Amino acid sequence: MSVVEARGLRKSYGGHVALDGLDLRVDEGRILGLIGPNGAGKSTTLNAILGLTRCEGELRVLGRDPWTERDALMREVCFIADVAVLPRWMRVSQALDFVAGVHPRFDRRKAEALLATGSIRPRSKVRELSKGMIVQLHLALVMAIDARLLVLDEPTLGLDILYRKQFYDALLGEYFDATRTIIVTTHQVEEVQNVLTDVMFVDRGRIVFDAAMEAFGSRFLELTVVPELLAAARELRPMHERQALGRSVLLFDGVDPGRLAPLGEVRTPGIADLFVAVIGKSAGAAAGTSA
Amino acid sequence: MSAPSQSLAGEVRGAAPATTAALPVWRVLGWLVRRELWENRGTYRAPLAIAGVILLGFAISLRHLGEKVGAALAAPTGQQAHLLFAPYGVATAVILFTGVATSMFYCIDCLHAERRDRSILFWKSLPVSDLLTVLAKAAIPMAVMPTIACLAAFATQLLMVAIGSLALLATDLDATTLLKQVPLFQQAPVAIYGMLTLTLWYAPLYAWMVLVSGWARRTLIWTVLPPAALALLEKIALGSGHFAALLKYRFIGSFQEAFSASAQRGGMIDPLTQLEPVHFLASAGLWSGLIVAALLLAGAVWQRRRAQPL
Repeated sequence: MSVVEARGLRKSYGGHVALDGLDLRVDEGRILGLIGPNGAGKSTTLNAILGLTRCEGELRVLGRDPWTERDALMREVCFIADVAVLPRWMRVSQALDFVAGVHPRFDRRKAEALLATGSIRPRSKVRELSKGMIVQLHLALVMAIDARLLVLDEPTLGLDILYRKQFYDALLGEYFDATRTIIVTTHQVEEVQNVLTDVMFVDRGRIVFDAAMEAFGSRFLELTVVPELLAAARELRPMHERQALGRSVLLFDGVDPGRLAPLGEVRTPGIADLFVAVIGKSAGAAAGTSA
Repeated sequence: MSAPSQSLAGEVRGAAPATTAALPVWRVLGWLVRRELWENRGTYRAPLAIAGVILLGFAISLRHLGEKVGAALAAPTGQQAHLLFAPYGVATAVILFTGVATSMFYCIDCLHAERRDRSILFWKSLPVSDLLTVLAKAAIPMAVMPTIACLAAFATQLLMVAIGSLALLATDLDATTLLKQVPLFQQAPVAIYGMLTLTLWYAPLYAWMVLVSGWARRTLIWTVLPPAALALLEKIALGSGHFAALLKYRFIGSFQEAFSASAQRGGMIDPLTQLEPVHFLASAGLWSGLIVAALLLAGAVWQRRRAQPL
């Protein structure tokens, strides 16, 4: 069952093409990481999914057109777009009152229980809270909404590492289950590697790479080559090659580990390594690896 | 996960659609209005603060109250009520005017603030339509503020009579003079009627400000400049002043249309003979104004849907 189904999304701002025929499908129960350089079209994609911007092409989220049915869709979709969008004049208790007042799937007691574990006082105004506390508050509000799709756009930007870790722990431990779907964009790629079930790279308004994390370890391998065997390793057609500590590191897609092991040290690459391999190359090479 | 291979229509049949029922519109609208009042406490506190200033001034002036009431009672019978009511009428007018002024300040900022502080991204993450959002904002100048201003004005009058009566205890006048002679209850419908007609008359002004607040970066300039430029253009190009006259009519026309000519000459207004509700309801100015207001608010809804943080 697909929660998000997009085909041929196009969007341009003036002369800049933000989305260039983007295709995307997200199934229920997945945690998808959308990774890409600045200006690649991640936020535009999310904004289209959330009904915040209009695109050409076909787009369905939970069977609805987000642009024309945003308010109905938001009963079952939640998002944290950027940090610090909670109104600064609002009191914590007012935020709870208001969301409880307008949201049919908000469980106020759950939000209060989540907040009780932290040091946020109900009488405090948002402007009096630290950045980390504001994100905790927003997360408590969102986690108390029984949503089917949660969209997170750089949810931990500007937070220290402790809060970032807590954020994902809470999301995975207390919120995520097989009926929910999460789409997240972030620059802190390494931190979400173990959280995601799927990863997609966005570049120049298109999905240029798409993999399930279950298959990630078996599909991609990184080889730190013994210098004398570099020519042999290159014959296996690595998708990327880089230098690290004076040695060549080659990245392979779908090559039998048994063939690589004699050539050097083999390990599973990080998403960041793969990202550099896919995005860091020229547009032509990137197109060659697109899914 | 893979690139889509089937038609979208086929996939949609497979996916369980979003089906949660919406909450009742009135409940959501009520919370939206409450939210506006949380954010804009100054808007409704301003008329209350002015009422406080009036009461303070009145209290300080109490030592002359005996002389003034005595002078009013010495006037010819036809003028007594008018002279006695004058300070109460002025207090009401000032409080109602403050309500209108703060409503305008509210409108100029109402859709700008959420873009400025990026909170629009939070509001839009909730299942609230742009239509309801704009309607809640329009309800502040159109319903909430007139009600608050009228209540504040009447409460102020009552308090003035109460402390005035206490002050009269110290004079040789009858302490119940004010209670008996100041026509507060006869005049209350005049104030309510005046505020109601003015609010309906000003609907396009409020709606224009709401619209501008939804798209402009500098709202005050964009609120004032286009109408002023249009009036100037007409004056220079055609030598006529129709648009300027139209603007003037919009600012002061409700009094012309809603009250009789005799009421417009000043003095205390008789609620039985000097109000002209039928004439007001039959005036083209009212209905054309309401139509323009509806169109401008529709524009504000259209704009809110596309609005991004500044």
